[in-house]
Amino acid sequence: MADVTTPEVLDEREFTIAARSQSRTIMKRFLRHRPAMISLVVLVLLTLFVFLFPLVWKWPFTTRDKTALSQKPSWNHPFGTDGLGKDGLGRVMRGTQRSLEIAIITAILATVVGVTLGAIAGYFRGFVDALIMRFTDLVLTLPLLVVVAVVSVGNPDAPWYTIPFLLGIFGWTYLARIVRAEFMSLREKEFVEAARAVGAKDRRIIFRHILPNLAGPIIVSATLTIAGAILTETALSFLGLGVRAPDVSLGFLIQEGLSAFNTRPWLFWFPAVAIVVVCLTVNFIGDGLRDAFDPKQNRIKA
Amino acid sequence: MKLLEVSGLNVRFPTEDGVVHAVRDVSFSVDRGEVLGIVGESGSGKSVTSMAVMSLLPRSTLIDGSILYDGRELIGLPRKKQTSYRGSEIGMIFQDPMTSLNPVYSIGWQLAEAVRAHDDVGRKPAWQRAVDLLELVGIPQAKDRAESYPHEFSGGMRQRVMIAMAMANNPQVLIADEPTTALDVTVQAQILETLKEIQDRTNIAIILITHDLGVVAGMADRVMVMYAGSAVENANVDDLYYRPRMPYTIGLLGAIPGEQSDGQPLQQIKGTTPSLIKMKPGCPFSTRCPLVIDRCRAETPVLEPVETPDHLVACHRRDEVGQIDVRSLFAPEVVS
Amino acid sequence: MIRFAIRRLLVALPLLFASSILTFILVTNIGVPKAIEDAMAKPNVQQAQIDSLKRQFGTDKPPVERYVTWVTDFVKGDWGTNQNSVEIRPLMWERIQVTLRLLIAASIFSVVLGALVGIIGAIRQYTAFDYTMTFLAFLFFSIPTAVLAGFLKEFGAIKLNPWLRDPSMSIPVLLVLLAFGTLCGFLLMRNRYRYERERPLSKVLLGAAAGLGVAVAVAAVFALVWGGNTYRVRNPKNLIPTVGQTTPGFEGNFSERMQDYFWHMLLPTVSLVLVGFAGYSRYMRASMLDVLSSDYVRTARAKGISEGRVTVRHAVRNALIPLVTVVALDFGVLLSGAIITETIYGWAGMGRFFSEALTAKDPRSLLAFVMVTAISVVLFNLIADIVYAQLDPRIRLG
Repeated sequence: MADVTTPEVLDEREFTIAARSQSRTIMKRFLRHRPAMISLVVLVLLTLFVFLFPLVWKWPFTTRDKTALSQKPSWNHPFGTDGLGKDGLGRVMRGTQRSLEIAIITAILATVVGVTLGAIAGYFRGFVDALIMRFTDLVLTLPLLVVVAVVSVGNPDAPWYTIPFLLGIFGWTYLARIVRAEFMSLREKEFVEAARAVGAKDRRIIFRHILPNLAGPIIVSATLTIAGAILTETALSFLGLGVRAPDVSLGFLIQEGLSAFNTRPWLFWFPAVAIVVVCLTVNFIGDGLRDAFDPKQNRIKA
Repeated sequence: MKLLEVSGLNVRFPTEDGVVHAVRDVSFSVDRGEVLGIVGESGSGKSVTSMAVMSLLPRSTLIDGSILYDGRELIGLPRKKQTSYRGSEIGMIFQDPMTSLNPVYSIGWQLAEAVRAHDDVGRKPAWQRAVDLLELVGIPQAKDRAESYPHEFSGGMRQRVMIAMAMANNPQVLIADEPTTALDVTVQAQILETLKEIQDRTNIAIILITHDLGVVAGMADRVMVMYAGSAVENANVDDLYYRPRMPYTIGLLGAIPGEQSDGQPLQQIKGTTPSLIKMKPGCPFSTRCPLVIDRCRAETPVLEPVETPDHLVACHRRDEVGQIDVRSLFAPEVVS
Repeated sequence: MIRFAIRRLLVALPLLFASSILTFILVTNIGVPKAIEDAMAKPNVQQAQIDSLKRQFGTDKPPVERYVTWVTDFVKGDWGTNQNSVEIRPLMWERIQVTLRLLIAASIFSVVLGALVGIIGAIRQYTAFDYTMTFLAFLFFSIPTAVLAGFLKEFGAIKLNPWLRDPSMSIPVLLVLLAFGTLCGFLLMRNRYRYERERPLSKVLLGAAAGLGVAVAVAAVFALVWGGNTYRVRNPKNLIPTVGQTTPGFEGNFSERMQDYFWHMLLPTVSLVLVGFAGYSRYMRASMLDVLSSDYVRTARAKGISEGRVTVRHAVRNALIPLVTVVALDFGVLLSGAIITETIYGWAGMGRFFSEALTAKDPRSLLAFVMVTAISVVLFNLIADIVYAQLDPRIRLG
């Protein structure tokens, strides 16, 4: 007689075929969501472009072309140049790179922290929950922008990745709340009792049973965090506190562009459009994912 | 003529994946003082049928056939007219009392709203009627409880409130869609008692929809069995229980655990219900029926009388079913 | 209810206390105040000068002592003086009033507009209106406040003002535009898919929206008529200003001052509202869809109530509840948006206070600023809790 609690045996008893076909249904639904699909394609193409094209493009983002100061867009400089002769296209590409990097790191960090804290709070309840909740409240009393701004001023020479670090450290509250709420309701369900009855330990229950149910909200929230991070970084850079020269981010470029708007509008428009496109596509993808995991539509054709 | 007569009811939902033919050619009737039980599995179309009678289905639904209430045709009426029937002539209660009441309004308020929807009375008299209704369904201290909110009530009490709400305007027909499924067994009995009392008092017609054959046995005068959107057997309650003539019905009855099944493997009907979108021709039960013959797969059976004129069965072999021990043909559960 | 509020308040106090500690740690990490930095960079600097500067900023004491002094003073109402030796509390009070105007106006309009759009979108799901509004919501959602505010400043004022000074559009053209707009609006409400539930009283909601618009228009006309068109006369340069929250040195009667406020507030508020309403409309739409498919709405329909009443009394009433929490929790985000907008439009509000404090690295100003923010957040959460309890009896009596 095999040992009842080996992982293979547990697998058989705990999971059914239904779980596997569900992910296929979700994928199918996601692929049907047209705005999300278009956005995905656009975003992927854009990302590939901004990371790969600079390798072959002749104007690195710091080079000053002294022969072309404040030029309108031309074949030589498709996005124009700024007052120091730096190429617009090169800078926008670099800026997009940076912004994307910052956003993704933020999202990963915030998701990890948020899910962990939310799971612990929701699963163990009681004192642990109260402690974590009070901690969350505390973090929430200080607005994200203010905190990051203050830290930024105090450490002007900090490398660029401190920004996403801070954003992630302070931006996990939304996800934590959701995860906690879900954990609190799911842990009461029968399948948790069943798993416990078969001998599964807490850690296994959390990771193998409850957490997969939250894949939906977590993924959706991570996507939205990406968009939010880009916007926050823009705001920071606008106040002069985000990515600093000589490095660029889209927010930095917009700030430069805004002050020169009257005379050199191209310095504003290209980064602005870039940001909006990135955020829009990310948001649509997030919406598509949300619909795929939890469809509330009843689309009936006439 | 009976109070409610439904003939040839067809309900189709156009969806992204195709047209779902949820109710196929269903006919039944119920009269004052009668209880009609509609029995079937999930997806058999029993709830959709009742929603069609109440005109609660979405606008895009395709409904045809005839629903005659007191001689008046309900299908095809303008929306406003349909709304006027709902609640005042035909009332309905639903399955889950925990979520069927609006949590932000007191139950007195919600009852009074039901009253004032069809009767032009002032706030105070409506409230008084609300309190009276609560007393009618057996809620103690009705006057005080009327000001409470739904979350302060137990499941059984909430279901009673639902009954009170459905009866608020003295309808002639009450449709109860799985009223006891979400409740404990003891509470179930109480609710059914309450329904019986109300019928004794007001002589309304009751349509009781359930998947629980035990409930139907105690309450119904007639029973209609539905499968995959069609009515497959329609008989008075004695005939159905003692002389079922549709293999599906027999399978259902056999699946009820009783004393004799103590220690025995449980009987089941192997297989699953067919999809309602791309229906193959022939009898919908043919894929699971132990009595199936070629004709079943080719030709769709129609409800026709067997043995007595008021016992209708949709099965090609209806005349033979009485002679065969169908029950033993349903394989018991195999445990490896 | 009072007990509820008091209980919440008591919970809030330790939170504020902990928050003050966190704030202190955060702010003191900002380093040396700029004034001291500048002084130290000068060639012939005296130690005594540095010391007196340190005393002025309070950086000469050890952290714990500084903290205790600060907290006790703060609670007493003495917030100290900033880098220019201006008293902080009165200065901040001035600045707060300015920002508050913007915040309140922006909040009200974005919530109301967002809720209406969300509700109508949910009821008329899959109409052209719904799709358009969804797309617009996503669009505005994805524009950084800075970009939007800058864009509006450029096109809503700098380019628009010359035209406004001498409007050269004839009446017939205006009427044609109005007719065209109405036709578009009507077409947008048609359904692409034949699916939908009842066609409920979007009349009611459209009526509400129209009523709001009419009310605003009437108020504007009334103000103009009553106050006379003297505002234009007094301030002929730019109708839609781009800098400042009032015209400096403006003297006029109440109506004229109100008009002054209005025109100065217009663009910044619109910037914030456009971004805000996008989020709220999506949220409200989702909430409505949730509620519309709930069991109790089905019960309400089964009672035979008119669809309009079902929508308003049952659906909207329940769908608003989660929105309340979101609105309150959003205060931090709203404040950040306001800071940006104020910077672009040159307002002398909290945004400027913050930037100045950051540039000067003045610890006392920053401490005051962050604490006030924290207090506001806690306060708004408290208000949200109370409103939520009012709306949902399960919380009130549970």
